Amino acid sequence: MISILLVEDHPILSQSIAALLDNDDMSVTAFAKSAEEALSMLPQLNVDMAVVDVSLPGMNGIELISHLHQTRPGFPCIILSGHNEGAYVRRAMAIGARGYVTKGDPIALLEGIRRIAAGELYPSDGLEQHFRPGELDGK
Amino acid sequence: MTDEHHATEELREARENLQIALSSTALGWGVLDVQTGMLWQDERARAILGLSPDGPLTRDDFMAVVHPDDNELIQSDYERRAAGELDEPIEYRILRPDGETRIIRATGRLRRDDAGRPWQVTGTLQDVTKQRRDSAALQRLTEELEGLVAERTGALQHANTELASARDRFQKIFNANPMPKVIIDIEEGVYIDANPAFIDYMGLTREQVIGRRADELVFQQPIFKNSKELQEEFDQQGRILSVEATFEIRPGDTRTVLMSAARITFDGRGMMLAAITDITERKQAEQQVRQLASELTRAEEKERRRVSGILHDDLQQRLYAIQIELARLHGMLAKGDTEGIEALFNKVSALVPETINTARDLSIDLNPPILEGEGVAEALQWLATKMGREYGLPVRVSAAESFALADQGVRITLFHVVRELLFNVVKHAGQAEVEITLARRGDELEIEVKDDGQGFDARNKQEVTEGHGLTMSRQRLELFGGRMHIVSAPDEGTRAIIAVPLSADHDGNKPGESA
Repeated sequence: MISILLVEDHPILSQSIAALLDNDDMSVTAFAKSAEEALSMLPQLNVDMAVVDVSLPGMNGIELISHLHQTRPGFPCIILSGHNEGAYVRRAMAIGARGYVTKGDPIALLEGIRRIAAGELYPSDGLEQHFRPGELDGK
Repeated sequence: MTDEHHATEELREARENLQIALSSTALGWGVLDVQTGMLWQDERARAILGLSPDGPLTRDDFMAVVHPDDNELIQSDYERRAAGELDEPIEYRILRPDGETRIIRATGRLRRDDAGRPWQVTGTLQDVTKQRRDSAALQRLTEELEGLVAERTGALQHANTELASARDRFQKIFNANPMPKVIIDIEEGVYIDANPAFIDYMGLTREQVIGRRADELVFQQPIFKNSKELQEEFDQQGRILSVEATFEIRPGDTRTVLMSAARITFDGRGMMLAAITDITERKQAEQQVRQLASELTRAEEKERRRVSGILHDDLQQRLYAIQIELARLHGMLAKGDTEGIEALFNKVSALVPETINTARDLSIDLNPPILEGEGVAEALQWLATKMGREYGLPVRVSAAESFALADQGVRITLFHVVRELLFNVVKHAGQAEVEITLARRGDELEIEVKDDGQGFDARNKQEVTEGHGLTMSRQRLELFGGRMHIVSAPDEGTRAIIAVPLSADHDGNKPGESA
């Protein structure tokens, strides 16, 4: 069972994502409405990964991952974003996100969580084009 | 020797002596025997008249050479001389056998015999043709010269009159010109003349200006951007046109002017005729417009970010949620989870109208339909209701009429200005109620927005403009010829009075004003 921290400020979307991720092999066990809240919660949590909305009030999702890795290097995070431009994807992966999924692709989110839990990197369908061949292997 | 012989001898001697005397002159002489008509003339007289040098002559021979037009004159002269009435020289014309007309001046004296009868006329004659012609030519020349002199004198008088009239016209134009103008002696650098507009502009008396140097009149001399180049331009072309300069007319009173100058000559001295147009207010207005444009751009940017925020933070997230729920629904359909499907369907059914409401609110917020064609009173009533619903601010609107202003720009501006004031009440006034009153004051619409909140120190300009963001509201109103006045004091609430012309056009001109 993959235990997930969901960092999403919009309550309705947060509920829907949690419902989507409520499966036999995964479940959202903790919620944070901001990056700051997530950082303060995390030391007390026992979660396997974080699903982070890139656009949050105050500190954004990318900055959250960067801060988080200072205390928990390599902690698996998957970015949820409304943008699918290459620059955003590359920037998120460069900062250490394990996955990048566009919000409009719910199935990719499930797939991404499973792949990351298995130790892979996961940019959702169509986002691989932003990487050179082999760039996503071996990490 | 007889007496007669003696007398003849004496006469001959006398004639010889006379000939000797006459030979040094151009005079000819002769004697006419009145009784016989015989004429004796010396050689010179014959030559002058073109008669044969020898042989006897009669009076008829003489009369034959007299110009036909002067026959009568000779006849009358002879008769008067014979009668002893005339002793003066006479001038007459002859027509010589060679066809040439000559002018003769003759003298003649009648002598009488012992019995007292006319006996002889003796006299001299002289060809004065050349003198007379020269004299006539001289006369003609003199007349021509006098004509010319008269003509020149007339022209000079005319020019003097014109000059006086031109000076008079110049002086009138100079004095009546509403543009401040001065005449400066270039060499001395002093004011020679200044029109009333200049005197007024400087706030001085004429006595304080005339004869003084420019640097004595103002607190700080005009500063030009390229004074060296301007001096060269003036020296070479004799003028400069609309050059911008700033100077301090009095301490703290800096003016921006456009200066034009031309070199003129006045009473033989080099002068500079300079005119100035004060553009201080225009520059300030331009600066204000630039500032307003910049603030409008910032406000637009802020509004865009606000709209983008609503689209992204709410609308978009709701749509993503719907998308996720539809994906879940799809999963449940595959599994045949009938119970789950119904619950999820109900959830999505509720999500969709909420999302539609969000989109509609945003659209109304961006462009309230109430502004399309309704009166100002209705638009403000709608705003009052909205502020009550969304921010819990009680707003009461009272208006005697609808105030359906033709200009949509004015309606929108009034709407936004009042909305800004109401937001200020929400942000700064604490617990407060608002009363909006619309009334007609002359040809203006006056809107009073009064709250009973904590108020602020309205004399503190910084607090009014920065703390309450009212500068732009004020400037937007001014664009339409309107204005806003704020009255407030701590703990005494705030009163904002807005006035706009009821029939302002887009340029903010009132009727009857030209642009």
